[in-house]
Amino acid sequence: MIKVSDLSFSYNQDDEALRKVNVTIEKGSWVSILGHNGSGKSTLSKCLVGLLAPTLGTIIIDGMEMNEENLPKIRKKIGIVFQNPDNQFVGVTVKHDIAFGLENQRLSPEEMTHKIMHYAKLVGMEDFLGKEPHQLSGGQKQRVAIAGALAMEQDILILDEATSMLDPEGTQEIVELIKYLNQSLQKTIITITHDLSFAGLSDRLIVLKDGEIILEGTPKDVFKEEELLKSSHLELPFGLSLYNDLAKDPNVDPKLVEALWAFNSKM
Amino acid sequence: MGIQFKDVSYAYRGFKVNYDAIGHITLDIKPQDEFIAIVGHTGSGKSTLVQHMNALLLPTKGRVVVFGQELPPKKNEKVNYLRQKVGLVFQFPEYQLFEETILKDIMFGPKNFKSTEEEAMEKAKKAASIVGIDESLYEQSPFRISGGQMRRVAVAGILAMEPEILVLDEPTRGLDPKGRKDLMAIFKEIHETEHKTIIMITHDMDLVSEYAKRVIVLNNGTLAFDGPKELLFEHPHFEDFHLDMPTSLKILKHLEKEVGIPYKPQYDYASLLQYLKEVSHE
Amino acid sequence: MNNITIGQYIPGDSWLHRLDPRIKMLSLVVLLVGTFIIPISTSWGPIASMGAIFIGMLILTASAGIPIKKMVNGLKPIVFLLTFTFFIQLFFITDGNLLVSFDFSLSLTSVGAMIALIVFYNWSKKYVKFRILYFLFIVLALFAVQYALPYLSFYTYQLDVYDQGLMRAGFIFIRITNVIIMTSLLTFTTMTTDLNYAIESLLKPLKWIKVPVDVIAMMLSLTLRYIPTLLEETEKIMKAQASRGVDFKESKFKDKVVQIISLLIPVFVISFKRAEDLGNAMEVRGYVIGAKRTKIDQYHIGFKDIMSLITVILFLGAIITVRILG
Repeated sequence: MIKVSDLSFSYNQDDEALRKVNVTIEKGSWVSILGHNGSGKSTLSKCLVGLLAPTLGTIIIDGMEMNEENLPKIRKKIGIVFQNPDNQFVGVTVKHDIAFGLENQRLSPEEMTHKIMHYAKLVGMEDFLGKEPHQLSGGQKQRVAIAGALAMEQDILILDEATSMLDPEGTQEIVELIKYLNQSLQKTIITITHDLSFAGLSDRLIVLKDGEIILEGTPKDVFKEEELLKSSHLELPFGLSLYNDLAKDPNVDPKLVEALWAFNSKM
Repeated sequence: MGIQFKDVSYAYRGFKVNYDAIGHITLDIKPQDEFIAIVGHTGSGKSTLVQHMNALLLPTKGRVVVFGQELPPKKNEKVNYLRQKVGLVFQFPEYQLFEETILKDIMFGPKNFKSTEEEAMEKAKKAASIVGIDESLYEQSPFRISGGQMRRVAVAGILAMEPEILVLDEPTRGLDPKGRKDLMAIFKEIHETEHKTIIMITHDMDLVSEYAKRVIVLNNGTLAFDGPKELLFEHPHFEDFHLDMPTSLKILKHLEKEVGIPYKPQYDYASLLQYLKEVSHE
Repeated sequence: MNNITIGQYIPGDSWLHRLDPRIKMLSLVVLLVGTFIIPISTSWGPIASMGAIFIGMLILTASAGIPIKKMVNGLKPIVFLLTFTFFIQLFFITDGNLLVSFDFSLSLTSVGAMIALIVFYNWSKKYVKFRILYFLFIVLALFAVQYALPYLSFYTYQLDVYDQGLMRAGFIFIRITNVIIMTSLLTFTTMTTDLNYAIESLLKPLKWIKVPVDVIAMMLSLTLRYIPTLLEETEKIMKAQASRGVDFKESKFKDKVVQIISLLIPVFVISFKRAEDLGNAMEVRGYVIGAKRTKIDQYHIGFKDIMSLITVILFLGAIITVRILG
């Protein structure tokens, strides 16, 4: 479980990226953090993995407070997949990249080989172990990044705009994988995105604006606040916006509105 | 004038065997008033196809004719001038920014095509206002603005060359919803007021549905469909194209099935909303 | 997707391919030392040693399954060096016995003919298959023309060929060729990751003098990993700038400078962003500079490896012995 209390972060004196943010993320849940560019969502994710030290406030992960002493232990619990598939692929081949984190953990070659095989299979990349990164698509590279985090037995996975640079095919691969990780493997998932259809799949949404949380709740609750979302440069998916507009109109047949809701739930 | 493809193929030289990235493509694109979406699965040859339109790639078989210029050209014929006539905006075009100031970067294109300093500045300012880059940003470094703004500066850099045909490779990829809307509005405006032909590669079928008039579908490098979007979405073999349906049509089909609303294709949000309101008031 | 792989590796399953990369690299070093220890002289010892190396290299090339054509292509980059050195040695060493003397003249006819030859070469070279031989042929023709056309001369000079010169030229030619073949054998039969590992292993002793070998190895590994990616990105930027009118072939010099900047700056910007992102990613995955890490790749030194190394060391010993005796 993650508990963020009064978290504030400033890059310099006049740039407060995060202001007294309070968040609790339950184990095994899938939370999406939404916000416009510059809302502080990336800053928050970097604080959660210990890349940035908060100016004020605390972060407690599974009972351990985030500080320099606990960092190595916390690094074993929480992993992150960044936006640019090329800028986090360290290894010369898929096998070497998944191995990277394990090599840092000083596992023996035998243990590593076993894990690499297992997690490569889990993400569907077992036939690509010898491939070099420039031979892979964006979606494939992100799957390798996820395999690397899983291999480190990290139970909390942050996906920081992990699908923003991918085409629809790649995005779909990742979405399916995340669903599986959360539902079948009970991993705690935090997705940072501005894609509301993607966010709509999670258990809870948190909307950031200018460093503060302005909205929180289930997708159903959050999607009702269309005006508030718009002020954050966020747009409801086509079907949901339509639903909201038609639901407001008293002259519209309620059966139509209901059918529209059913359509949105199918997505 | 315009662009014609005559049985064009382009082969990449592979490690042991050549393979055709595109094969036997025949197309005719008018220089004005067309809004064409090029769609197809990843690797179907879309990027290869559009790079023939400004002579970045030359066909290995067949001929491409751009504004009367034959490609491949005869020996010693220069083709650089075509890149001013057909402006190509690449994916993630913000990577091409390099100048000290935003205005200078936008002026780069026109200056390469023999505009004087004054002419280039005129064109650059005009292009900047089209994409919504304010005067106050002219002297700023292009690296100190937001990603969305950088993209617009990059697009302005192509618009400043005053091309007759605009080719866009996934122009909205990576943008947030507002950024996407704003950028497409700019292209729509250009198309409607200046009647320029716009050719756009995209994976987003909702964009195709809302903005395109004509759709070209590529499948494994060959032309699978070329015609009005209305016909594409009604096509009996639509499944073979490996494309998604636009959301508005999906909704209409769903509503027809569930509540019996007559299926009358609507291609954008506003039309769909209006239609549903009309239909349910009866 | 691309079909290029990093490096010059030619896939294969020969004994040379399967040899431990550390042994191969060490052997290369020993052989290089040996090659340069052989003194340049006309006595039987050095000639036999150098010849033995050459023949040995050819045998190794064949047994590793490397096509001769690839090996010859490896010489392409240094054709100029080879020819230049050859002719310098040939004409400017004046020891020993004079074999033959050439009178060359720069005359209107010979200079005219040379210009014609150079123009012809530039035009015709794309039609010729065996470029290296063609190049050498043209060079000989350039000299022949100066010899055969003394009409209307304005400058004459004499180049003498002495037997020592001829011998030295030949010797150095073979030596450089040998060095190229040896290093090519290594790069053709060893995958880049293995080469990386070999370099890291051989540098390990430097740890004793506080050289950060692990960090250097990581830097090397990352560089190798990013070369294809950088090449692709550079190509994309070139195309994007070409679409804005950048045309290297058809532009003036001062424009070329801006054009190169339009290529360099985006590449730098991408690389700096990458460095920052990569640093973050590596840190989150537990990488600490200087900390101990294990490695997934395991290499085992077997019987064949030890025998090969011993053979090579014995060979070096033989060369040194021959030198001392001879």
